[in-house]
Amino acid sequence: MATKIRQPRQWSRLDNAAKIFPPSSSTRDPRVFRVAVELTQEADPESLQRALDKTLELFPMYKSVIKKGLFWYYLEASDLKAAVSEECELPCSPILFGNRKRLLFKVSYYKFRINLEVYHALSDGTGALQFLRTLIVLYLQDKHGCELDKDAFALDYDAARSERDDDSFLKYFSKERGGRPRNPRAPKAYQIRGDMLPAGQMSITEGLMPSSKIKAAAKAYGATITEFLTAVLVTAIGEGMSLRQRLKPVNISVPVNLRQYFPSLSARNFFAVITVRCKLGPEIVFEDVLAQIRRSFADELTEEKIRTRMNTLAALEHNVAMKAVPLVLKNPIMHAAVMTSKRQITAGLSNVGQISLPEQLSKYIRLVDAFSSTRNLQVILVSYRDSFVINFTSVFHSTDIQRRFFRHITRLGIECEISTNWTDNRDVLITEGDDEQRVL
Amino acid sequence: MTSSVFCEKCNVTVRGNYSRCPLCQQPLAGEAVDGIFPHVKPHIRRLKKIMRLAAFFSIVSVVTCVALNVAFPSYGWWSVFVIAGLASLWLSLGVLINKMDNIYKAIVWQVVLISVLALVWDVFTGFRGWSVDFVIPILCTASMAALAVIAQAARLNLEDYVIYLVIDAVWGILCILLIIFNIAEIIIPSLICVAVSVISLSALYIFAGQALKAELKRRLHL
Repeated sequence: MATKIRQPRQWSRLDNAAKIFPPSSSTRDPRVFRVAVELTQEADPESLQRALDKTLELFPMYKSVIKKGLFWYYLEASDLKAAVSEECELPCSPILFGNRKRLLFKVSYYKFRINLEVYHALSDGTGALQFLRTLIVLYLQDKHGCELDKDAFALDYDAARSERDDDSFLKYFSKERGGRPRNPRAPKAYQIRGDMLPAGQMSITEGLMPSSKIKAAAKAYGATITEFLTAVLVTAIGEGMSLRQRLKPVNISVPVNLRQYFPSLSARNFFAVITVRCKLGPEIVFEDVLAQIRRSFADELTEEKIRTRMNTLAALEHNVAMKAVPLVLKNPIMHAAVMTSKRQITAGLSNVGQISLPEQLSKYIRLVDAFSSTRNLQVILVSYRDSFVINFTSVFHSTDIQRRFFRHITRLGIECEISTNWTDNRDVLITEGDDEQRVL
Repeated sequence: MTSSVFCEKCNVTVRGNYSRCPLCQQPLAGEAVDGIFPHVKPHIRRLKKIMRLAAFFSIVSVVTCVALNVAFPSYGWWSVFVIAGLASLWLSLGVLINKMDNIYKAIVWQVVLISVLALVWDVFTGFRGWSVDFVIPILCTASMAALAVIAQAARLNLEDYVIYLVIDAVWGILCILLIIFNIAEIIIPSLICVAVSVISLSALYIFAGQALKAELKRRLHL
């Protein structure tokens, strides 16, 4: 009889971007994002569970929990079973809270939708989309028994397991080449104000439009889709600012997928955040706003600047003084640092990009959707074939910014279909909320 | 598929049978909403409600006692005991609830906390030595026994709780300081505690050395 040798538990350090999430998560902003697929038929839980089990074999990093070490949080492999369930909680509800050991993602379904919610410390949007694509393909294969070209799917994500689990920050950026952090003496950004929803609730406004039309509109102005929509966002925000408030700049934080600059097949975090700045005047002219935005993007999106910034962040993480501080002290320090940097930001916009799925499955899929928890206002763009989705999540009761934004879009002749989680009498589908609490 | 209505002011189709536009609140043709998100029932955290009531009663008790004490000062400042007692209770309960998800963590935290509280109470009531003679060593020994029993009963992976066994045993070994520095007058409970701690740590090292080393590497990584 063979003796079983117990292997020590698999574990890994959190990557550079992930380290900031546990200290700065709370019920107000649990740092959870959702990517979802809307099908043309109702979701089948049994097929979904089978697909999930198979997907987890290909992404073993997802079978992890977060544990507290003396100096840092870390990921540890877990035997917890991931079960598919019908959506029964508020979107992007906290995944990591208290000392409970839980998996860092949730797969749920509701009517025609299949949702994947991920805690940001585990992965970024691009990484999560890889997981979702695999899940959906396996689900549709299980449900409809379609035969796929071996090539059609395998080629799209041909990453060995070690490449998927790769910490690309560690691979590309080092403290040796890092500089000192830039002193953020820039003027404080305009902060959106208004009646806030109770902690844990978000206003979600989703706009669906044809990709071809949005691309054409951006092209007509000589800009990329991200630049164009950032300008529309800034205009929509600006139109609600008083003349006095317009003295403050409107800064939009835009995450950049580093995989397009530094080759990586990592399914974990690999992104950098840039700040796009715009100063508004008494008159808001869209072309001016767009010009400022484009200049800002051009300034920030150079490979050299990104590399310097990431090396600085790496230097910060690997600094001996920073490393040796116990976690109990590091947490409030990091929390304070994140809160301070938030004051430099008015809102966030993230273009997750175009998601591709095998052609044979297109008749089962209507659209792909993505949105994220936020502390103020967040816009996420994602597209699948000709369905372009712009998703607003906001902690504010008011939908004025969303209204102005979508009216700008429709004025350009682009048809828009709006979905939202508001009820008719302006309740966000739930009546009771809690005060904000620190999650950890 | 869900139905939809058109808002003329915003020039958008709204998915769901809305009677008011979600963007501009203008009336629309629909009657009842049926959307892409489920209606979620509110979570009422029962624990929070109980905590609020308990906090309120504590404040009432403290205020009443202090008022009575000020009115009738002849028996000494007994209200301080009430305040200190309630404060200790709240501290202990607070830590327990915070660490409740992990029973080992909860036990270890309680042992350390109650030891410190007992010492403080002892010192402030004339240092008769009951905390160092009995409370601290017996608490440590009992907790080591409790952890061992729970570990057996719950049949969890050793790696999940080995770190807590170690912390508890180290705390137990520290009781030797009570003997060396003559802080404790009755040394038998402390002796038993130290002996049990040393035996536990040795057993852990000998039988589960690898799991222990792996766990320490994870927890202490820089």
